[in-house]
Amino acid sequence: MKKTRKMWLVLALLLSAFFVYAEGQTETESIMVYCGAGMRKPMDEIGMIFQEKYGVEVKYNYAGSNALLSQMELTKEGDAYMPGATMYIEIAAEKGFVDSQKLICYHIPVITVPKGNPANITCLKDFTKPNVKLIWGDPDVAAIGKTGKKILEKNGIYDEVWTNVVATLPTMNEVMMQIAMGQADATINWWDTVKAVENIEVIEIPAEQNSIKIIPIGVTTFTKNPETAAEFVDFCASDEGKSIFRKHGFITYPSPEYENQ
Amino acid sequence: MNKKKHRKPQFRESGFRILTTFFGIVLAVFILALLIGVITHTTPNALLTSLVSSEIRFAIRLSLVTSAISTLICIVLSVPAAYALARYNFWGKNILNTILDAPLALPPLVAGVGLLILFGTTAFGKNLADAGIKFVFTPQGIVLAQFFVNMPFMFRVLRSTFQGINPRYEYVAQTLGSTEAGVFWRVTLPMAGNGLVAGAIITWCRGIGEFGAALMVAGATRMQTETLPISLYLNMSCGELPLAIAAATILIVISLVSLFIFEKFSGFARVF
Repeated sequence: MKKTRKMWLVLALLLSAFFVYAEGQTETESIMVYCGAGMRKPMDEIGMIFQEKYGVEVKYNYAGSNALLSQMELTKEGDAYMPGATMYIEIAAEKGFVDSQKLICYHIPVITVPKGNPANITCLKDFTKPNVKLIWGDPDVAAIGKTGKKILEKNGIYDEVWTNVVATLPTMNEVMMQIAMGQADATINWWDTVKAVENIEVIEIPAEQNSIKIIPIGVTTFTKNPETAAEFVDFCASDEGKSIFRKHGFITYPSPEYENQ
Repeated sequence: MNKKKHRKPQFRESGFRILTTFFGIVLAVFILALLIGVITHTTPNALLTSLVSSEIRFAIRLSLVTSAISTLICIVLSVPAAYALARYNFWGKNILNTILDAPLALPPLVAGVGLLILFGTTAFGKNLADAGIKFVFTPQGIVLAQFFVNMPFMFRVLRSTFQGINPRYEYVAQTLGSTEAGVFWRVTLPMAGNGLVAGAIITWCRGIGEFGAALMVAGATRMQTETLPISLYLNMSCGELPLAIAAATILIVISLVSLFIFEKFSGFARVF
């Protein structure tokens, strides 16, 4: 019988360990934010400052804008959503996940080439040159994949350019890695995502050819902490929140330069 | 307690026995719940429609073809290597064994980065590409990734198979006048048949599931380098749940069937 007693002891220990763990999980208040991977740096900093000020821990789930939408659809959990373009928050609103939004800053597409610009790309038109090797974010997964495609359509060069696309990849991080390693000649990516990457060069797209997006944030409809979540969204949209975005190279909304976009 | 003393130990009702079996059952329930959860997440109708969609059919075909080719290459290169390391003793054998097993312990993403650097950026890789043998962003890249990541499985199964064959068969055949190569071809290899089948099955099955390294080298271009796991990932990322579930279901079926065949043929050969 001694054996059984020992066993019960082990079981009891395991159970108590589990409860101690579960207890620890609920001790501090926290919110979970779905955030497009491109906003990682400013949002990490905002989360830290928010925790200091309000005593609420901010947990981020970083991924592609559309990937976050499917996660929300599957789990129906989380407190706020910040995609790379207003289009996604509109889809989320249609599905009933989000019912309001605040505009934070601009997301500006630029041409990105490996260091040294091996294919001599100077403008969008150069994407149509024969033998130019382009890679692209998957238009159905990454916000910039879709936006980049729209820019080509706007300039009427989509069909010609798309024959030069040798591969598509699920996230822009993978695209940037391949560009930095010189595996392709060019792509289109967000300015704020690429500006700190080594071994690449950036070429601006003139405003009339470009399709500039606005990054929004909204409280989810299934949040269990609506007040805290609203406080967090307000904090991001406050001057203090926007100044952190500016510090990381974003151009915050509203700005006269991009007002007509 | 005393009454039970004469009983055979395996029939004793011990708490320990119940507890350990209980743990086994809990783990099994967890695994089954997961598999059934995936397959039953969508309606059978949606699953069927997705299974016959051109994207999934392309992914199935590409997965089957690339993994068959990579398994074949694994067999051709592993058979001699495994034989040498099972039979002969030479200086540095242990180091060689460890190096050949290394891809097994390596995260596939690391393997992917390595392959990309070797075949994408070095003079060696660029010369190959100029000669028309391109790996970056091509289906050949998928084969390369599958080969590199899964070669140790083939190698290890074969090595332990060869080790399990008594060398005396080979000595006898040699005394009967056969050459070393002849003995290998006509005695050892036929005796290693089961191990060969088991190794091929596990390599093929893992090849079908290969994701990380293939993504790095070959990209995830729809209808071009879109294998089943890549299709699963892409469709999961863009909310096409039925397509993702279809890809997952096929992967589950392939894995379970291969596991069954592997267990049947593996015998004394073990992967680990």
